[in-house]
Amino acid sequence: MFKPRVNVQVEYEIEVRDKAGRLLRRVSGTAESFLSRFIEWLLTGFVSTPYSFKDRSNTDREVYTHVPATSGVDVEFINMDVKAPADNVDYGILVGYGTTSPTPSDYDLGSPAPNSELKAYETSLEEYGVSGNETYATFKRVFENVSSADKTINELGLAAKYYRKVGTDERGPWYFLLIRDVLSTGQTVPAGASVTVRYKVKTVT
Amino acid sequence: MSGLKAYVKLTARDREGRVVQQLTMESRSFLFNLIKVLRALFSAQHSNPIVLLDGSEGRFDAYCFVDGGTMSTNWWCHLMAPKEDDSFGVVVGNGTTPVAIDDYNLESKILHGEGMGRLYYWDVKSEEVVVDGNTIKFKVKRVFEERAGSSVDVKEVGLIAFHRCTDDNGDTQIKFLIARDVLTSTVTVPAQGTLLVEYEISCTV
Repeated sequence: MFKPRVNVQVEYEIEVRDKAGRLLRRVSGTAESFLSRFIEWLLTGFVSTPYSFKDRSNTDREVYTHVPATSGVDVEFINMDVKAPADNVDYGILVGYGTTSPTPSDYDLGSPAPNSELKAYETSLEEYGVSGNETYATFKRVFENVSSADKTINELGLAAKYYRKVGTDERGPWYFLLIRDVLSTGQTVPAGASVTVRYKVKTVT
Repeated sequence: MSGLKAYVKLTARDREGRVVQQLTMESRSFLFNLIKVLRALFSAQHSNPIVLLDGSEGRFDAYCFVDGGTMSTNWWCHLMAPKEDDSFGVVVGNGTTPVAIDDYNLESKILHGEGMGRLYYWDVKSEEVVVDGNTIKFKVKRVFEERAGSSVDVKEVGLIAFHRCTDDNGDTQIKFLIARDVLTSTVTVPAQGTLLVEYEISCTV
């Protein structure tokens, strides 16, 4: 059976630090789970026709990844933004407690961690460039355990925000899960401690 | 290993439609430009540098904003070239220089036309996303036709995307290479024959 090698990969890295910022633990791995949404989104961008897929609330949304020629109206178009601001866990890098294995049709984390427990800072582009035969873009987000108990992260995700307004036709903001991973070993974040999660998207030639 | 994978399949047929040659190969060819596009989209940014087909730097706009009164349009990574347009979509050539991660064009593109050494470019088509167990995939494809009565050798293939953004920052129309493969063996399009080139992009959860 023909099995092509991977050309676009995603890797994750998790760093747990104590209240003083000392590194307690670092784990990394290859993300296993581009979801069907990511493939569908690529296709709709390549063919510039609308596609319907489920947002994080499991609601079907018709997504246009293009704006036809128009004039005389306000237009704003955000295609797939992952740079969520602080305290917004609708999109960006996400963490959760769920342990169910990923499937292509997953539309959300199994059990997203609420911001009231693991406070989310902004998702940012940390770096991008070329290294040997790899090109990459790394996104990062810090979460702080603001609860009074230890929290164990079992799953990670990357969700994007979509918003399109052409005149009175307004779609979104909607939030779509593009990647979901379940960790082989849960990572415990002590009360008052923090965790940094990175997703690195790269091509290998 | 999971992640985004691609393979390329070429099918050459004679004038009677009989298959005379087939080649299926792993595609290793997503390039730096694709990471630049993903980085820009995930960051919802304007004016992201990208390398154009002549090696110069162009502007990729992943965010579109227009106040009423200004013309606007946005196509982010359009591959659906019409027939007789060899400037984007699935393209073929006879270059043999190995792929480099920063390639920005085919080495030697075979031009559209009906003369010797050329191929008639039909329009690019796509197939719907298919979920097969834990694998999600779609295809983009193109037929090329030899009309001069003299066979043509194909040694490289690629994907060139068209991007356009017209908004308050101006009108940007660019084309850039996102994938290139040098074939493991030459595929010959017979005189008066056809060549079908299919790119299949998939990921497995």
